[in-house]
Amino acid sequence: MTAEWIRFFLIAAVLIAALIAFTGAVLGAWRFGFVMNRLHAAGIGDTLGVLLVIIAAVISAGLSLESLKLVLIAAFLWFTSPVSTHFVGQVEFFTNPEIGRFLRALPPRGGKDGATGAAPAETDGGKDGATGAVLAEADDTKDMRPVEAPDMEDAKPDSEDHDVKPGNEGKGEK
Amino acid sequence: MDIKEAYQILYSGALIALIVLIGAMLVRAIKGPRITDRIMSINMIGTMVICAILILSQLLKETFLIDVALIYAMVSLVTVLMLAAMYIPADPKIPDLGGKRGAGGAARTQRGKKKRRSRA
Amino acid sequence: MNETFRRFLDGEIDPLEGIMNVAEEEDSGRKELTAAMKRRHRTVIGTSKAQKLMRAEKESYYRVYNVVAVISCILLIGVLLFTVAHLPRYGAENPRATEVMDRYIERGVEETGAVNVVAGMILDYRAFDTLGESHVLFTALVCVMILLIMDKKNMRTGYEDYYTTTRERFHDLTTEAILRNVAIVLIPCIFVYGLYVLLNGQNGPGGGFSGGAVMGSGLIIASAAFGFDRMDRFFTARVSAWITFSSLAFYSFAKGYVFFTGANGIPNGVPKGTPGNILSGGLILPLDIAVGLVVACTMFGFYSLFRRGTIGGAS
Repeated sequence: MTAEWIRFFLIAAVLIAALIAFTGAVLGAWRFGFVMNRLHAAGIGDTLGVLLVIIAAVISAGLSLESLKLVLIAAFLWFTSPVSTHFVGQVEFFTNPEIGRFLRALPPRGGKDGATGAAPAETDGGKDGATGAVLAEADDTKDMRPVEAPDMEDAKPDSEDHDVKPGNEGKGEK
Repeated sequence: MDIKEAYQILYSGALIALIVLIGAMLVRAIKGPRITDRIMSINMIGTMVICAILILSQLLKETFLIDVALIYAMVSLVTVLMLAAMYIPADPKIPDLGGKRGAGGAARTQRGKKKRRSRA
Repeated sequence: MNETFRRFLDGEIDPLEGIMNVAEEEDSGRKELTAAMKRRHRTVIGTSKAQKLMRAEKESYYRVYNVVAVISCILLIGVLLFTVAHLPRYGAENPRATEVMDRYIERGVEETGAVNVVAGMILDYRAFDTLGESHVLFTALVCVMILLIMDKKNMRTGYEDYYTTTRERFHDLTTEAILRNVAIVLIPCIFVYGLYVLLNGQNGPGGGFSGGAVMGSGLIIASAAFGFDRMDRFFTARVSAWITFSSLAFYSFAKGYVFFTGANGIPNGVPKGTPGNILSGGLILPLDIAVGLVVACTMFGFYSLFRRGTIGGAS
């Protein structure tokens, strides 16, 4: 009897954690003002929330063919939800005419002004991925030039040449 | 309290909470200013419906509901995929994100290659 | 301050330009159009007596057709309302409403060999109904083909460019490496699971329609990820037509045979099998497979027709 009650409280704890994760996702979808941020929040529900619900169901069902199917559900959702997120982000990136207001191409990373590479206030993880992909694409088409001097010394003047946003520069120096 | 009652209360409460969250996301889907907000909301509603089906399967002790949830998990990709194919233009132009993106990108790749080589 | 608004105040731009047209132009256009139509009308009627007669016949035909259509619709509505009015009330003690249900639940497993009573009902007792549903799907696909298919027969000059540009208006998802790599893992699982749902119809939830839908969405994901060219290697319009035709023909003949023997009290010789096994339920399993194939072909056919105008291959 005690074992049953322990199992019950275990399930209750995991389920409540799952509900908290989903609540976080919904709150994020409501409080953030831009789709990429909302996607970032929705990812919590798609991964952590589903995982916790499935752990609760596995504890409740015990080890059987059912629990195998439950694990499969988690595996499939973890496979498909990043793809959905990627495509939603792409739709936003290619169709929003005002995307430049929300996203900014990151200045190059590394060097002594590495702090400058940190995202400005409005960017977050999801946007990083989008801009990174675009930068890579642009490189492939236009700017793929053979690098002649693989020395670190050449890198220093190169890094000063980059145009960094004036605001960011100020931040970096501080 | 009997353990069966406790389970019932737990699962019913979880289902009610999920329904409230689904309703909130539905309102987001209706209000969403852009199409992507709506797609994202519908996608999240799908995820939460899968979870609701799983909780329901434990509440009713019916194993066939897990099969239903598995189908949902597999097929939920199709919606987003087709909507993305519809809305992304055929030759997508990379939007201007402010700053001289091209130069920065080139510099970034060059630097990356240099770093990699110097490490090697 | 809004730049556009300021320019509007300065009188530089007219915001309604191109949106609101001057009314005169439209009026004169309409006048021209009506005049042209009248001229054409006169020429058509005035050319010869035969044409005049033909036109009169056509007009009277359409008048009669309208009247007959309205009358038959009213009659149909009346018959349906009459039938509905004479249905037994919900939960009423009516032999027609309750006995059949009890019989299905009590002796369904024994008579059909299927553990899933619903599968036994839709594919054994009421199989004729399901045959109609499959044919409805097939008819829907045929109608969409009539409207949308682009082949050499109905390709008029000038339409070719239009349709190629339409096809290219969509984003090509085959360039997405992420989707391709996920699809490689996902698609076999979807097909295996669809087959499981399809073959397990008589023992659990599922059956022809749901299994076919799962397999159809697997086909859709495959064509989105790998492109139509690679789908055309194994799934062309010919293959789709043969699968659909043979499934529906098999269904019709099998159920016709069973209905004929059943109505005349002849044993039909179809083994029922042990309820609970995969090979059980008599004809339910092959019929499930037939329905599932039709549903999968229909789903992919819809997608392909709406996306590019053909089902696939050289049509």
